[in-house]
Amino acid sequence: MSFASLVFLYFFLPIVLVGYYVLPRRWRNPFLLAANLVFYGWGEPWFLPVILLTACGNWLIGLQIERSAAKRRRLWLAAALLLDLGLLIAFKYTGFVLRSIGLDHLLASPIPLPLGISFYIFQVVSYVVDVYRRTVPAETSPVRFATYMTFFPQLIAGPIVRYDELRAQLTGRMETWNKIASGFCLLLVGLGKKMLLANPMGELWEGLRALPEGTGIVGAWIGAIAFTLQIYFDFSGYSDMARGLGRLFGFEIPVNFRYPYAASSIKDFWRRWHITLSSWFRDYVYIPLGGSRRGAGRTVCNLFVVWALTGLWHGAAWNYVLWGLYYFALLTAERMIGEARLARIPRAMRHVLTLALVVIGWVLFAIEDFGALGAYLRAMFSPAGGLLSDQAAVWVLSYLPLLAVGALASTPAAAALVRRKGTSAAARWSVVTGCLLILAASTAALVAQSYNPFLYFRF
Amino acid sequence: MQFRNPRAVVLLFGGILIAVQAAFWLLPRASFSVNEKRVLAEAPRLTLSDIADGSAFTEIDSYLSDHFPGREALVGANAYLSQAEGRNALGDIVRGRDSWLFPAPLAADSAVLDKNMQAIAAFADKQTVPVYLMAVPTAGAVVTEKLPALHFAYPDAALLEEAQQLAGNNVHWVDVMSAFAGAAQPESLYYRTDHHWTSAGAYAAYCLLMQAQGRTPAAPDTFDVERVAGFYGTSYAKSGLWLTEPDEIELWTDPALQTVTTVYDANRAEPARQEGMLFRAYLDEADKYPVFLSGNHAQVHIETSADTGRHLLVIKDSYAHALAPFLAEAYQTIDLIDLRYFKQETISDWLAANPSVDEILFVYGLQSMAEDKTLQWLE
Repeated sequence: MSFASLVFLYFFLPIVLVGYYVLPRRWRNPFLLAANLVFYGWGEPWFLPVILLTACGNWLIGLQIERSAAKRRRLWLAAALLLDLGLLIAFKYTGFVLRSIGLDHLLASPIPLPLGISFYIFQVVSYVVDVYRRTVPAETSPVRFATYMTFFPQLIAGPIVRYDELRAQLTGRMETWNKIASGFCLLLVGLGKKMLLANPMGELWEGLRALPEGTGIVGAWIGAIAFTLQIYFDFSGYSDMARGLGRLFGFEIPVNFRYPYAASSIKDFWRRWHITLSSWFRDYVYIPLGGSRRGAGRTVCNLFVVWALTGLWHGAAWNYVLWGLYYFALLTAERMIGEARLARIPRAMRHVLTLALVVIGWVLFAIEDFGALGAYLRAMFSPAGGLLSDQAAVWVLSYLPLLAVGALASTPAAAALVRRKGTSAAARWSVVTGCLLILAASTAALVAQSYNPFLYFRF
Repeated sequence: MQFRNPRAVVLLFGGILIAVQAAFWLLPRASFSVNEKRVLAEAPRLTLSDIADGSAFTEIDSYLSDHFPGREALVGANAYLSQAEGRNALGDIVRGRDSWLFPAPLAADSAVLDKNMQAIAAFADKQTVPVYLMAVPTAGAVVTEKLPALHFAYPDAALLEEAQQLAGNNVHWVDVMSAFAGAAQPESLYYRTDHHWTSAGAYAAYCLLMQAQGRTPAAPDTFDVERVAGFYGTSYAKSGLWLTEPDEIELWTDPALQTVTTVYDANRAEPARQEGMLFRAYLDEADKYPVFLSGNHAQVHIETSADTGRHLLVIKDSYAHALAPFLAEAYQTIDLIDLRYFKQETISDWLAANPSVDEILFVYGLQSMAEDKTLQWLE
């Protein structure tokens, strides 16, 4: 089930909310677990066995790791990693690997990808590793463990929440009116990002990309910027909705985005973009490999591994690997230049340069086909196609107001304004009114998706 | 963020979610959408196998969205929001000046158009009677003064030129485009809220056809003109811009002319017969264009009191419907065949059984010519 759907917002959510709050506290986790499974199985119930197998396996192994002595612990950890990464690789990368070595004819049909598997596998890996490291105790209750692992607010699109971040909340969370109220607001802000900004930006990007006569150099950049805004509002919108939904049930889910397009360096960008993923790779790949403590050569090597994997995590195709390695190259370059020398560049210029590099990165991310990717990059850098084609001009000018809103909304300005004036009654009312308008406009956009005039049917 | 009265905020948002769901369960549900001209989704009957193969979820989704409380109003709100954001030139309908709703431009190159023209040319080569072709450009290519400042280019002139070249020597090309482009009042030729031409537009095209045949068209004062207000066409229905002013539809009738119309459909055993060519029951509906020949059918047969002894076969889409009252001035017998619905025999078979046909006329909106593949089943 998608958050941005009528069935979720107006049917699933109110039923789960009412059910949750009429039940006594000890029934709330089991009830949430049931809601998680309905949420997950909606549309594609055949993936339920996979997620249930993952939950049971990791719960049992977690207990075994805690109980066992040194050598057995390692074996159990290996078993868990084999199970988890095995599932991830089998479902997500089999087709990619076979295609890369030219054996894709072995697959009769593409292997379907279970919803959210990249996210929940990373969550359980962090759990078993943490239990192995004794930084958290193993969860004794299978219901609590499964509730954590399948928690519907962050199940299919993150944030990647570690068990130790939710452990205390699973047993002793407080649902307060204020938490629920701010949860609604966060949910609606996220919904608005998705429906009112990300989707139209996606239309602009697709529209410009599909122009037969080309876009011109300005059109190509605006197309890339549209995708840049689309992916940010889509992803951070989902994360906001996840955090908002968590609060509706008394949970505090970690922040995943901190205005990444306000970054002044690539390193800064990755401290702001998909924070829970970057810190997962830092804690479970980079540092175990030795991090930056084993000399410059080994550090570069470790960074290479981390960024190739980061790319691959985003999708099973070579362009994602290229995108990851692009950031490896940029981060290595920044490291070699050094922060002191970077700081000598004027701040505004650093910001613009960072953004331009990020935009180019998103083009690598967006286009899987290398032929089309090359053509798009040529359009961005070669003046041969003119400045802005006539057709591209219609697209760009039609979306200019939304591009401006999107650009502004991706900066910390609006939130800073709310924080500064947040104590006044007028500000509180405008936040509530704004959320109401977002709900109305997003609902209208969702309903309009089903409006399909079938005009040659009867007359 | 800290709310001073968080309980009120929670009750407000929670209340909205619950109230909308309650409205869904309690309000009566329509089974048909007038604007979309389609049957809305029926309540899904859930079986275990539907759930197992996932189809139950699709059905539930479409049922919920088809019957969502306030659906039409929300579709309208979404359409107006897009307009307010400046996106009036994208999408299926381009909103122009003075409440003009134009269908979006056609694609600039169309393989379907080429194939259709080749089929028509090959068909015309085999005929012993003259073949005429009337291709009607889209409104956006003609009523250019009402287009918004920002819009994609309308490629009609180039498409029609290409079509004319492919038509070959045995098709008499009735140049609607040039005549319309040079018209004194182009906005009288098309509806504002519908993709069709008006009766005035059809009359102008009828005059061209008569000139092409060297005959004199009936003068405008031959006809009584009746104006019916409150016409909301298909562009209106597609646009979601519910506040747009309705059109007026003009019905031109020659009081001196008697006609009998017979409508044949594949799924109707007995053809329907009536006096006259107008089906006035449709004037009570929002979309009044089916008042002409009662909309799309496999075949319509018209007998008129015009004493010409001539028989015309029209192969057509719905643009021909508004033209029929004028053709009735010039032909005693008219058969209109719509290839989208006429599936029981080929045109060649039909012509063999009806040797009295004197002329063949193709009447198509350019959109059908560029997108509808049924023309290729001509033979």
